Amino acid sequence: MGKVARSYRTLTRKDNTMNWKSFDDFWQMGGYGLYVWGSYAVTLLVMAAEALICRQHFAAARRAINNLEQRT
Amino acid sequence: MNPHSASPTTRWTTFAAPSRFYALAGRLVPWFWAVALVLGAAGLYVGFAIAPTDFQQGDAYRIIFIHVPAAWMSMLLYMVMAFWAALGWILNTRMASMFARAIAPTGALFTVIALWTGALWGKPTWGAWWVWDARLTSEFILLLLYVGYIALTEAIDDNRRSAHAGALLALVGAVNIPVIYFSVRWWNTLHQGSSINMTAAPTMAMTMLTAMLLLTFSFWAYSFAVVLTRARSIVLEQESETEWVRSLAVTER
Amino acid sequence: MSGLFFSVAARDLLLAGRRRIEALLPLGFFIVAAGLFPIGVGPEPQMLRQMAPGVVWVCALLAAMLSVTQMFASDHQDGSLEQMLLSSQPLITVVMGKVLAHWLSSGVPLVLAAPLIGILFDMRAASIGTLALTLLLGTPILSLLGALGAALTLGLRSGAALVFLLVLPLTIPALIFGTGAVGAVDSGLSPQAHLSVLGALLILTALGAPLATAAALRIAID
Repeated sequence: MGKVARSYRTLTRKDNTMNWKSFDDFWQMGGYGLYVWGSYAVTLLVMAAEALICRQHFAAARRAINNLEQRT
Repeated sequence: MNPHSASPTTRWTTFAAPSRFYALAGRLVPWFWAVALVLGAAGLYVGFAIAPTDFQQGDAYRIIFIHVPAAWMSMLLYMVMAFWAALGWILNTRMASMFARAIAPTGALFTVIALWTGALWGKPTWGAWWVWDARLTSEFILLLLYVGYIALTEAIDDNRRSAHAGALLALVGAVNIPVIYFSVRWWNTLHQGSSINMTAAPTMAMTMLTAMLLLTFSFWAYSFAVVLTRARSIVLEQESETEWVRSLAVTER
Repeated sequence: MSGLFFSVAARDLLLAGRRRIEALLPLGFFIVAAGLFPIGVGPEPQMLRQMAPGVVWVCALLAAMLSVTQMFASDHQDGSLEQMLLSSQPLITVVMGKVLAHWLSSGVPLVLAAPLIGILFDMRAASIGTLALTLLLGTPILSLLGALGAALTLGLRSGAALVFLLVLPLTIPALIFGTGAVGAVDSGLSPQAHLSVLGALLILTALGAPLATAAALRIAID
């Protein structure tokens, strides 16, 4: 994975420069905005969807237990 | 008074009992979500605010902050899944098999994320949406192994047969993964030479590595949260005839 | 032990011989499927020659998977498979006998038909020979892995389709080295290395697959 260079100890960079000068720069990602945000958006979507579906699955299982108990 | 609500003994094998697992998992899930969100936020902050722009790949390289952790998780989860499935088969314990079954969809989804982000990283870096490099191809095959496991366990109605057949399949897959990976590596060098090499990630500054590690642990905690929840659902479904599950209908909300 | 092995193989071959048309369906599929490619991609000889090893191997993979469920299906239906499990005879030997029968009835025809396809794809003689040799080594691997898939999916409704999904990823190393050997010959190099690896794969599969298949049968039936 390449060599690791030591370059920081604090939560900001040594030269204290910001990565982006404006939100627009941040959004553009140096021209690669589509790829970067496409990746992050899909990832977040997939994870959120999975979490939601898991929740629903659990709720459905609970409901099934309740129904079973009510009928007997 | 539910006897199963008594405090568990200190032996960890007590959680082989579905009821104890169910209770413990229920208590742990919120904590894992919290860890996942905190580490995720930290990782994203370091990755975007602190890690510098790469000299060669520009800002497109920031995709690796999720691509690599997702790929790692997809491989780790397969091994963990195979481990628990095998344990469930060999020791004939239902809980281990149920846990393995809960892991599979999450592992498969991480594989999908790794493939998607791999493609989106490959396009600006190498010019094509899909490059048949060894690692992406192996990741694709891993997805097929996951889908096969899920398909087989879903197709068998009997819980015991489903669990044991799945375990055998997962073990066969786990044993084959090194063989497949090296075959694909060989195949890749035959056909493309070393022109496309996705291991040529940018020289990793400490900040980049930190962001990746933070997100890896975030994904790991997320996996726990989701898998434990799914396992609880599976436990409810497969143990629905038992006393303690029936009592849940009355006591829990 | 070898008595059981050969008698199981002979029995399965006899049964396959009684349904000759059914036994030859995979071969028919192989020829049709391979023959579709030139029609689909165009008749340009250079391109066909390059594609040929891959096309032949993939069609062989698919054809082998078609007939694989038959290894256990009919015995399972009439209960004789259960008898085999209950008997004191080693299940692994039974499995190996069935794999041999399957290979003889399904795999060998593919090996014999491959040169025909090779000619259709305008392959050189040396390449055709190498292709047939790789299939000779590869088709037993397919039968062995197919048996495992058939055992895992025994009796399931979607069993036939599932076998494809479960087994094909496992056959990828054989596919890579099989086609690689032919590719080497095409480039004027020696296929020794590829053939050696393919042979090693065959040995490893022959050692591991029957064991796993027997375990899968016990899971499916017990």
